[in-house]
Amino acid sequence: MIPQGVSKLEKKLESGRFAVTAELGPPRGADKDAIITRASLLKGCVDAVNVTDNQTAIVRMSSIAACVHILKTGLEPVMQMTTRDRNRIALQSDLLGAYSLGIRNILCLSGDHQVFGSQPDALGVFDIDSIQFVRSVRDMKETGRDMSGYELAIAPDMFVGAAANPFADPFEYRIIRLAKKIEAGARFIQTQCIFNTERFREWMRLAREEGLTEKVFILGGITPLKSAGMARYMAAKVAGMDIPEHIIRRMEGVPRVKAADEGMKIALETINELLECPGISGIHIMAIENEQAVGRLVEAAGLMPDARAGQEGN
Amino acid sequence: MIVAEQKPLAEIIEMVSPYGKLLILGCGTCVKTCFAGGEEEVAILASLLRLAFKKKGIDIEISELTIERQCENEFIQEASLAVSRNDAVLSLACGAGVQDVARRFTGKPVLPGLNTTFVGVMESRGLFTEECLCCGDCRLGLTGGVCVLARCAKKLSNGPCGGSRNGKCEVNPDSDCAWQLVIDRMKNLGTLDKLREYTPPRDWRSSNSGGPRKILREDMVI
Amino acid sequence: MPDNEAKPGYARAVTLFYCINAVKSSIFAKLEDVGEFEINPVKIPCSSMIKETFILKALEAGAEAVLIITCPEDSCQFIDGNRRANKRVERVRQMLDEIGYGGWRVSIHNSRIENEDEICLLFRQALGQGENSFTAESLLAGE
Repeated sequence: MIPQGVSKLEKKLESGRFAVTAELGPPRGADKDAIITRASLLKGCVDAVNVTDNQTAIVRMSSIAACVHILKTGLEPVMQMTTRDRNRIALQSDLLGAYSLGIRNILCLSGDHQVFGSQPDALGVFDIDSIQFVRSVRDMKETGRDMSGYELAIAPDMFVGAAANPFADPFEYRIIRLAKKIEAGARFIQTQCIFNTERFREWMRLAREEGLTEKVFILGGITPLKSAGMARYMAAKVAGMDIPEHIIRRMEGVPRVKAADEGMKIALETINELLECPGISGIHIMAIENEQAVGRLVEAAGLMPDARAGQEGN
Repeated sequence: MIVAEQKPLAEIIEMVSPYGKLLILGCGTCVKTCFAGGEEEVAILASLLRLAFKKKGIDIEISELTIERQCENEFIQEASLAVSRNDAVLSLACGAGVQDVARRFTGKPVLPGLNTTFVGVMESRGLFTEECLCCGDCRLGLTGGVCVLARCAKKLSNGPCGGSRNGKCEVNPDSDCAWQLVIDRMKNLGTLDKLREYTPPRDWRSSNSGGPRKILREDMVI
Repeated sequence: MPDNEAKPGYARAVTLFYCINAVKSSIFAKLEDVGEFEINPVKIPCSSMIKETFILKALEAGAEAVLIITCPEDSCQFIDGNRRANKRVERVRQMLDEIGYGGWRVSIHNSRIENEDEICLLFRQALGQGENSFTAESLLAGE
């Protein structure tokens, strides 16, 4: 039987409408109700939910299983998959399994290095890298064959995406790397959390210059800060994160009880900038352990699906 | 060169304690250069073990010998007499040397005194860094002479991850980001555009993943 | 019992490595007459020549303590010879501590010495440290 269903996220982006995705981390345990409860907070306000794959190299419920729980709630998952924990055999096998279970979106990542996680003594696999992984997912869809060239009875037809960090070094290579991901078959890109809007705008300008925004849907990463402490911690400790000093000062400049509101305000301002930015197709909200914030943020930004439908007249 | 470091003394003491007569066998090539297993290190370790066992009131007779290389039978043979006079051999060679000595002297316990760590260089005096994983399929020509397999923590083949910051690796801020080195070098060489090309997955059979490797030089076989 | 422990009625055996530029030559001869210690003096042209093995061999030969005297920090004729000596001594002390032999047995003194009394004082201080550490060890062992 041919698995039914197509990616609604893909359709939405293809139709030129602004998309909203949000991130959800599976629980550190086998409690499916935990993920269903948290996913329900996102229902009705996002187009798809990214389900992380042992995020920050901490053991959690598998992305594939959590995606299935989320599917049952009526939400559409974007399955994140890292090359850190699986070799090419396991990656392809899980891809086949995921597709058979109704998962239609995949975000291919190399993954946070295991030394940052709960088990720094683990072996990092890194058999293939994220770009090679994107390409193998694309090739599977286009040729109907797995990486060995074996013709598959049903080849997964995934909407394939990749991540980009406009804030990492070396800056001049960031666009080349984005181009390589697109060339390998990435159809959508979700970026690292944007706080340094100046640098992000420059990155987007270069992407447009190379004609990349014509070839890929870029969803800008948004994280509402909860406190000045969180801002300082992320700036100092989270790899690849760029939080400018003026953002930290803004968070420090308000009373502690108002800090979360200030974080929401900053996030809203960033979203508004992104809405004006040519080449941006949507936003990706990473509200770490703070799913309640997603609905409020989307609502405040006037991006609830109904409102968006109204704006666009359909 | 092969870079190694001496095992903790407590581990060595425990390992050698069953033996009354011990030969500490040094190796005069790679591990001598990295200050882990040459004459000097053999002498220091021999003294330390003598002092340690004297303190415990245990009699142990320790002799010292360093040969040119422990990975070649021709040199290993020079140790035959010394080995025969002792109950066990504590080899200060790399893992290959330890095994080659053990293979040659079937009836004698051969113990490792070093932890063999990597193939690398002495970047500056006293600082050794890993440079090669012996993958068996050298691609240094593609990456400006910087090995991204050995020197990128995620073994990325197609450019730096999102954790490269100010030229340093997110996994260890003391380490250079290998990809930053590649990009700087290729920019200098005017070949940065080459990095736009896609690098396909590796065939790991050339590496240790395909099991222990062998090279047979037919022309050298008599 | 190790043969380099103090025996009543005997001078305590110690080894002295000294840089010829750090110790006044007039006291070389006097070292033999120090009653408290049986000093085995070894002169070296520069403290950078001190090797880990020399120190360990001295201990193996029965020295209770080893003292190294170097020129002051910035006045080594070979620029950083005495800094090298300090690092090697530190390494030997660590290794001796690791095997439970007492890193305190080895000490290094980085300034010029004018008379033999200073040398005796330094040995007394070093051995005193050892005695304190024995007391601490005994206390820990509940003796």
